[in-house]
Amino acid sequence: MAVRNRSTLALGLACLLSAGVLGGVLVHDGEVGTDEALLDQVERGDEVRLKGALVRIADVAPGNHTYRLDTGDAATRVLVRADVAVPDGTYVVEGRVSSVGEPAVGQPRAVVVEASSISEPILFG
Amino acid sequence: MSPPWLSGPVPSPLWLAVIVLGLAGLALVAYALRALDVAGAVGSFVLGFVVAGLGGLGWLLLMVTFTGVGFVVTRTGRLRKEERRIAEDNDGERGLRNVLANGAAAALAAFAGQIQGVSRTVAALAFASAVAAVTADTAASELGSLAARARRVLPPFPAVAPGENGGVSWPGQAAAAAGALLIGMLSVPLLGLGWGHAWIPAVAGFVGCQLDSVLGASLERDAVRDGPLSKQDVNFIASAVPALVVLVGAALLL
Repeated sequence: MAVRNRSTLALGLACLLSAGVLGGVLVHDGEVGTDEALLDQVERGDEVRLKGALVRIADVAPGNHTYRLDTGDAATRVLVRADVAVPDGTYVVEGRVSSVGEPAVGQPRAVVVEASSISEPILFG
Repeated sequence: MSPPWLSGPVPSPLWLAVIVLGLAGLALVAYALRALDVAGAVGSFVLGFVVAGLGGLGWLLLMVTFTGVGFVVTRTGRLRKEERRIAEDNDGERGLRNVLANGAAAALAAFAGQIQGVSRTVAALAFASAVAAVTADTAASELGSLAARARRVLPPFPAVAPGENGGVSWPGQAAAAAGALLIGMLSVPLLGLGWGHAWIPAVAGFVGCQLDSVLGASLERDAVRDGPLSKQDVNFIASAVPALVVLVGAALLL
């Protein structure tokens, strides 16, 4: 295959590689591909991916921890149950919705997520 | 189900940066590999930016699929095409007119999605139909020209040299069907269409390819025949017409 200019080819490939890496980091870090905007519609059994500030509120037993996840959505309160203990901070939580509490008037909707993974952002915490 | 970051609109400025980097990379690689000249590379960047900005990453990837298919089929059987003197000029290198001829209808379909009353699904179907038509036509032209024999698409269907404008062959038709089907199937994950809708761009793309052949046989000018339409005009019309038909039909029926 005839290459017009190897430097241009290298620059183009570097751009493509950078785009792939940056895109991968953005998805991993929950900057895109998360479901906070859908929290008012999720139902029991839905798989969700949420990013927010995770605060541990209870250790029910070893391997059974409960967190509050602040996603910035005041209309929904998200509780996360996980078998791993992580320090408070910003995380991307993936899991299945185990229960949804319909709100009383003026109260936020409560969504409980059984976490299958909790990951820390690489760059965009 | 397709994730929204792939098939939905661009979700954040950082995601737009990913798209710009990717587009710049593709344009530079295409230029370096002599798939596009400078104007063609700049044009493909702008066109890709418009499509990605209006549709999203998945819409752009569908266009990239067409570009990739075009790159491969253009270089398939290169020696045989050169022997038959039907290889694309400039070693298959495309310019701005080629880019616009093959991408403008798709970009217009993406614009149509911004019109009030045109749903995203309807615009996506029209967009995929335009991309399917140019993919089918490129595959048919490039692989059909390697066929042993061809016939003119219009009556009385005389035998013509493979690769001649308006000529069709069984390998070319098979390539057209495969190209249109590929785009139809990829439009499900990339555009977020349902599987029940995938046949629409596949059929529209194949029909667009036939329209290209008919226009090529009747109205296109070339080295031996005069006519009102250039090759690029024919490419644009053959992708815009099926996209428009699908746009109107889907808007009325869906």
